[in-house]
Amino acid sequence: MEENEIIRVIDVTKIFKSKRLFKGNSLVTALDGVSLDVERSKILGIIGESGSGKTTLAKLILGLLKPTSGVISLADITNVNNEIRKPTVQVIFQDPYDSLSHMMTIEEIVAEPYLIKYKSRYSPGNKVRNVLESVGLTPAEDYLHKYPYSLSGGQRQRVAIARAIITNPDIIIADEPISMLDASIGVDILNLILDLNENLGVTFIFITHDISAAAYICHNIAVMHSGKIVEYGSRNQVLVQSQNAYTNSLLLAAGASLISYENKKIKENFNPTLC
Amino acid sequence: MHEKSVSQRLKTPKGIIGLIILVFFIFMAVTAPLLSPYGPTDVSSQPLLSPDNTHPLGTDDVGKDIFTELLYGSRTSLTVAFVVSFGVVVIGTFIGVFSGYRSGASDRVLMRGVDIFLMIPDLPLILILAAYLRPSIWNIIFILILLGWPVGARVTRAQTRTLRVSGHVDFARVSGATAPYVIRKHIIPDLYPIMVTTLVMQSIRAILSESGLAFLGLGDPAYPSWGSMIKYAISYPMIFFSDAWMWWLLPAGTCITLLVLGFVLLGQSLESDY
Amino acid sequence: MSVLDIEELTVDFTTNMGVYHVLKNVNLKVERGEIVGLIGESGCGKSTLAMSVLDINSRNRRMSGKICFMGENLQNLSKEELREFRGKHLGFIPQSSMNALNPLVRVKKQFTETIKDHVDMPEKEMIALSNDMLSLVSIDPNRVDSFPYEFSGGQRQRLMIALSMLLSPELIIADEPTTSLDAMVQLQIVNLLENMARQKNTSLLVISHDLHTISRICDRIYIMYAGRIMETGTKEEILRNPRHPYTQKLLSSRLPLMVEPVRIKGIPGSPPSSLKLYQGCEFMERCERRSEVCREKKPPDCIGNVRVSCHLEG
Repeated sequence: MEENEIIRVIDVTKIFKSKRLFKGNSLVTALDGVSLDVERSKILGIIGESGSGKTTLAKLILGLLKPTSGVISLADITNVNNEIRKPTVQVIFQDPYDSLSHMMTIEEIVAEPYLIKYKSRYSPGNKVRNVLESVGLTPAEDYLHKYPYSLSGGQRQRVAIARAIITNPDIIIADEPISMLDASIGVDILNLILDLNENLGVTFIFITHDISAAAYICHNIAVMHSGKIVEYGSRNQVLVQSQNAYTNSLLLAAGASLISYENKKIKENFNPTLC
Repeated sequence: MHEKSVSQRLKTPKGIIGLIILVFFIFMAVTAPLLSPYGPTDVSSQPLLSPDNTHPLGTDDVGKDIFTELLYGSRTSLTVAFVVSFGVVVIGTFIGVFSGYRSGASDRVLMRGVDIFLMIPDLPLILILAAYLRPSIWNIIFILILLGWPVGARVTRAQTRTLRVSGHVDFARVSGATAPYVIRKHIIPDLYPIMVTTLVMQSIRAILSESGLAFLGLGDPAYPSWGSMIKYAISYPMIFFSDAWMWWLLPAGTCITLLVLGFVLLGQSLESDY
Repeated sequence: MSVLDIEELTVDFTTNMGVYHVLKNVNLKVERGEIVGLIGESGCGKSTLAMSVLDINSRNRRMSGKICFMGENLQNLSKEELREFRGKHLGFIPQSSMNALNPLVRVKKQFTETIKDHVDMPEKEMIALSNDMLSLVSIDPNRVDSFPYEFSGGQRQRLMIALSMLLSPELIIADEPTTSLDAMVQLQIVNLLENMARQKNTSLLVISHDLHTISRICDRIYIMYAGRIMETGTKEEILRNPRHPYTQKLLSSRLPLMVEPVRIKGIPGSPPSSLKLYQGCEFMERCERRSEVCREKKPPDCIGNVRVSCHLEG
């Protein structure tokens, strides 16, 4: 593995057996020979529509599923003490209403990964408060004893981010973290991810169907369609210099206008134009 | 179903009345030896006496004090109710959660077993078993639990399967949680409302089954039961030609009805959202 | 005569936790053949407005003001008359409506049953009408015998649109029609709504938090915040010349698609709880241009010629 790679996905295929009522078993190929590298401390965007396989890829990297064939390998990380370990991975899910247990308080939810990791040997102490404030939920006191039902969608996602960072993971996979939030709230969440990446050096894998969101925060981008990667490169390569028809259709739909096929540029689209 | 907590649901009129009724009968059962003038199987007096100072509800056709029988009958009904419902909930939850969490082959086998049990009609089987086995209260309890746990298992399995694919369970697994942890912290707490409801429903079933069996003469003769009180009262030929039905037949029937009603109200208050 | 004329609508809900002041003095009109957008963040009360018009949220509700549909005051109608209105003259596409289809009933039956509920029509005509609708929403009429789960999310949304337009209602209220859909599909759905509305001359009230996507098809737009209309105007006025600070913030928090990455800011803070009653402007806490008068006095409501509800823009 190269010096700055932290994850390498090598020719991964995932096939699901789907049992449909009255239609017999059928095989669904969710991922078909997918390969990519994740650069350390950078934000990789995986863009795709529903059914493109992006969530399946996320679950494979997280270890929630096993590949049918192919390998996902994580680079060794050397500690300050010259110990070698594997990188730790955390996750932020799409649905803020489903991903927080409604029977646990915010304090319990945020402390949970810490307690699981250290098997309750250490108390999270002030860490919970600090991490809540670092995601913008201040004063933390106000939130500790609340239950998820009294928080808005945006606040819940902040809690989800807080609990993802409390154990200082090396990699965080954010699976459509703003798709279920209002557009104006989503911006703040994306800014938060940018800050975490810049300040803590956390590697992010940002999964989305919205190319504007990927363009906002990603250093590198992979475009997926029907279980395959159709384009993969730096932000500039994929957004500005892309020759791929599918990527261009996504860009067009997001409001980019193409001046010419050979000399593509993304038009400044800050003021919404009338169509 | 989780917007209101259990205690909030109980504070409604239905819940309060149900609780009062239940507490009333528990009190009756606990203080039976203190309140009753006689022992439960004493044949102490003349048969068919009308109510008076020494026999608040008179005596039955063999001279037993009716009031004493009534009080001790509550012990039988409540014991059967609590043991059966507790047994069904514990076994049903255990198997349901195991089956729902594991999925795969063990799940399929267990659920086929559950389906078989569910197919068997309750009452005929209870009657046959009760007729062949020794008429003992513990056999009755055993049969009721045996036929009741499948229902509990199905319900907890369904809930477990839903929870197992939820985001917070996935997160716990990503964080490195073991299966026992996930079950303990993320699944069982969600099952409390269902377990409470099952407790109530199974209690109702147990009380009615026990009374019914006693009425049919298949109960445990060592345990006074409202069901057998009704049985003997009804089979007495002159029961409706005198006033005896008022103090012999009516109280037992009323007790069964009232106790079941208490559980029903409790059950409804626990299930409702308003 | 407007298709929908809402005057001074105020809606409260009483619960154990207190009184939720969800809508405050809302004035909103939809003319014949118009597409009107009602834009606001989650929780601002816009769905409550839709449900109050349809009268499907009456529990614990206290409502004042007038809701006139085709000249009829809806509050004067009996439950039965209102039920007939719904579906035949007043269509509704609810939130997450892709999940509103009955999973156990084939699509064909859901269509024919909807028609049967309101009109007497021979079987053949019903099927013809359903097939017409399905073609209009670009779904192969041959799939009419399938179950809802066999369609994708976007396709189910199109089915719901077809279902709502079956009886050619005069007004359709669409509540967040693009949520839960991919970016490309959102555009398709929004364009489809516009085409269907123009073709059948149906008025459309689209409720959403997504100003950018929805504004593409609207003639006029209302901006709602904390239960009040903050600004209203034509599409050009709102997009080119937004006057209320909240509208400006909504427009500027749209993710830009630029060659060089830029940073933009969202709207700091969070929307107020509707349990609180404000003496002054509800947006004040999050507004960069706030002043003392904003705390003390309520800005004028958007009625008649008043386009903006703001002290600094009046």
